[in-house]
Amino acid sequence: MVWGVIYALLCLLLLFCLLPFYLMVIDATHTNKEIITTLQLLPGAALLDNIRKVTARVDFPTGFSNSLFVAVCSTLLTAYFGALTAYGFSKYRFKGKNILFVAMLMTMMLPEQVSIVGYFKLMGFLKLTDTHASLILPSLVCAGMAFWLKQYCDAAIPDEIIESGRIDGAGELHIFHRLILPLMAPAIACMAIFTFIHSWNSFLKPLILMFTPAKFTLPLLMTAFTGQLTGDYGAFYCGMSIATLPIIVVYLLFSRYIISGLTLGAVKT
Amino acid sequence: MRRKRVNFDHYGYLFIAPFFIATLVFVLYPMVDSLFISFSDWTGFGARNMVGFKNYARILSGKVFYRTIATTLKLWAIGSIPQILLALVLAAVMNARKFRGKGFFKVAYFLPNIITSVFMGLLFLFIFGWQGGAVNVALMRFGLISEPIGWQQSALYMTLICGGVLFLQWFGYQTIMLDSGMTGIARDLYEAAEVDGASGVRMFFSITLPLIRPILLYITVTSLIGGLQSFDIPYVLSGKTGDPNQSLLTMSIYMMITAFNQGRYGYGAALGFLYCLVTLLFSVATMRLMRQEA
Repeated sequence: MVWGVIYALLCLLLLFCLLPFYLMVIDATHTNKEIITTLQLLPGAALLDNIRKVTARVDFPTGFSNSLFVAVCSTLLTAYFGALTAYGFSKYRFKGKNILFVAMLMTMMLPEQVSIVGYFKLMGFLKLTDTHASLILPSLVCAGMAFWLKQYCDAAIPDEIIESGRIDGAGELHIFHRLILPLMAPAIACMAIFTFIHSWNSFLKPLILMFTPAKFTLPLLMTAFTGQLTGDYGAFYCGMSIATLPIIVVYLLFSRYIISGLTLGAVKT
Repeated sequence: MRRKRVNFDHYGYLFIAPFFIATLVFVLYPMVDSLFISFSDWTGFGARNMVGFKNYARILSGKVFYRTIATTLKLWAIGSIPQILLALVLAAVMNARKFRGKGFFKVAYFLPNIITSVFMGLLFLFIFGWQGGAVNVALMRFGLISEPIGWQQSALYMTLICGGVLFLQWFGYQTIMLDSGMTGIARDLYEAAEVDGASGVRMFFSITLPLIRPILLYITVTSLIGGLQSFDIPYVLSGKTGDPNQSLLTMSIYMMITAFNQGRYGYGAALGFLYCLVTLLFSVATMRLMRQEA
């Protein structure tokens, strides 16, 4: 009996969680008139019409490809340089190592607010404002990834592998690329999902740095053009569905990794 | 045999160098430059005149600065306090022995967090639209109101809606974090308590709560730091202005509008440093407070 009530409450919460998205998808299939007059809970027949209307105003292929390009490049940079840094900290004993490691952790605590004006000016100086590079380059600063991968390196990469590489006469970078990187791949992939999501969702930097609509990432494109859609709920919800459904599908496919990865990142800090 | 003694350790510098060079160029240099700009009246082009502490003095003697701090904290509190309390209950329920379907609920509750914040904001902006927004349509349909409510004109409503969206976005995350903390507690502690005749509620307060304190501290502080930088959702919900009546004008939005929309980079940079200080202060205070309670 008690458990019945508990499950009922949990399902009610579930309803609250999913209702906005359900409404979004359902209303994407209705005409504006239908949405304004009654609450729609079942699919309608205006989907194609809405798609036509919204794609005429919002250039989705461009938005998607820009977002994808920025997110993939950012993720690759963070993954590679995160692994490189982690390996350096994990497997070599050099002077000042501890201080440098703490310094790396400190960079994680600096809020964007203190550097954003200077970053904007730097990008202007380098003639990089309004380029995707200005969004991608900061992902070289990948302290979180490096911190987590160092833990992994300490625990899971045996020194013998490195030694055996050295005996074979391989250079240090070669050892890293050929022997270590493949071993770290699963751990890298696990964290890279979060880098990707973070980049895909980011809004403040693109908002400040990008001016040309043809270069806008998806969040920027949607905020810039939904103004033209006020008064047409059907088309708006349709556009929102197009923009969010890919994320939802990817999430559902990888949900197990994502949810277990969430706690991995935090437990040790 | 000279080769045997070769020391490879200096290669470490080579591996970590790219990170530190990038940090120097893309974080530290911009930060120091921001600090210089904050003492100037730079407007984006041309020469900048150093004006000393004028920007800081003006910010601190005005009202908006303090109001934005209060607004940001208010939005965080409305979203986060219920969020963490609910997450505690949810995680406790999910860790009961009889509970089934934990994986499913976790996936579903976390879904709103995966959706791009900007899209969450836009979606709720339309759901709470004046004419034709789903909430007004539903309320009128059920005869609860006869005229549509102007949600977006009311500071109170928008504060609650924004807090609500933040709540929806983050309670699943908090639940997952607390759940992992609770799963780590050894079973025999509960079994021993059960033998002594302790009730479920009693066990929650005497065993679970003390043992998950570190993770509770962690999620509270990270949520506070994140909340104090809150930008995307209030920005979109307020139609990029922080209105109505500055009710959604968070610290980040005010700084961003000042620097990048109005071109007052010096003033904006000074705001950035002051806000950073505020964030630091509140984080340290929260940590102190939570440690003391232990």
